[in-house]
Amino acid sequence: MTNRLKALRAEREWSQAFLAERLEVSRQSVNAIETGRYDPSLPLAFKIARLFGKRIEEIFEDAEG
Amino acid sequence: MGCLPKSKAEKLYVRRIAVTMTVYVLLVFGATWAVRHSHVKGWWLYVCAVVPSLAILRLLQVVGLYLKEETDEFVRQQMVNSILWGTAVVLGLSAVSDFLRGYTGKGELPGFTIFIVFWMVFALAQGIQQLRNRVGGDD
Repeated sequence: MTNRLKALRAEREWSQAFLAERLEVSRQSVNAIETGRYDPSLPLAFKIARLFGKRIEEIFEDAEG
Repeated sequence: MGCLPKSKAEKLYVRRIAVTMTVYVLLVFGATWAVRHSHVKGWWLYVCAVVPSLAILRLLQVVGLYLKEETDEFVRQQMVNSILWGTAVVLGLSAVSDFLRGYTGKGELPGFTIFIVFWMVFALAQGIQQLRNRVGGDD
């Protein structure tokens, strides 16, 4: 699964630490999601989508899709 | 889980581990002292064997509580990975030891090997994952 998290974060000039705080996760988690080493659960993906005001599929893309 | 506690669950975990390990050491010394110096006999020997083991069970409960309380799913997954590594190595080790004993009559593991190896591999796996997932400067 690929995602646009880093780009969306950059658009808003948010740091990883800031995003992590808003999502109530560690910076390590944000970094792992951004670099594609970890795919978030559905609840976390929804949380991310809500925070950016987008739909999940606008942020995350199925690599096989 | 890094060197410094971060989440509330992590702080609780570190505190619980510290308390449990302290209790464990006290119980081991107490039980050993009782067996060696107080002429403990009969079923009291079983009691002396069971009491320190309760602290080990508590240690596993502390890990379970951490997994329940940690809200960061990525950190939680790292902990589960480390537990699986520890379990895999001790199960492998004990299987090799059992086969060796069955074939040669030798290869019995020294006491507490499983316990020590499990926590060593667990700690090593945690360290490797920390290293792999370390984050540099924020951008």
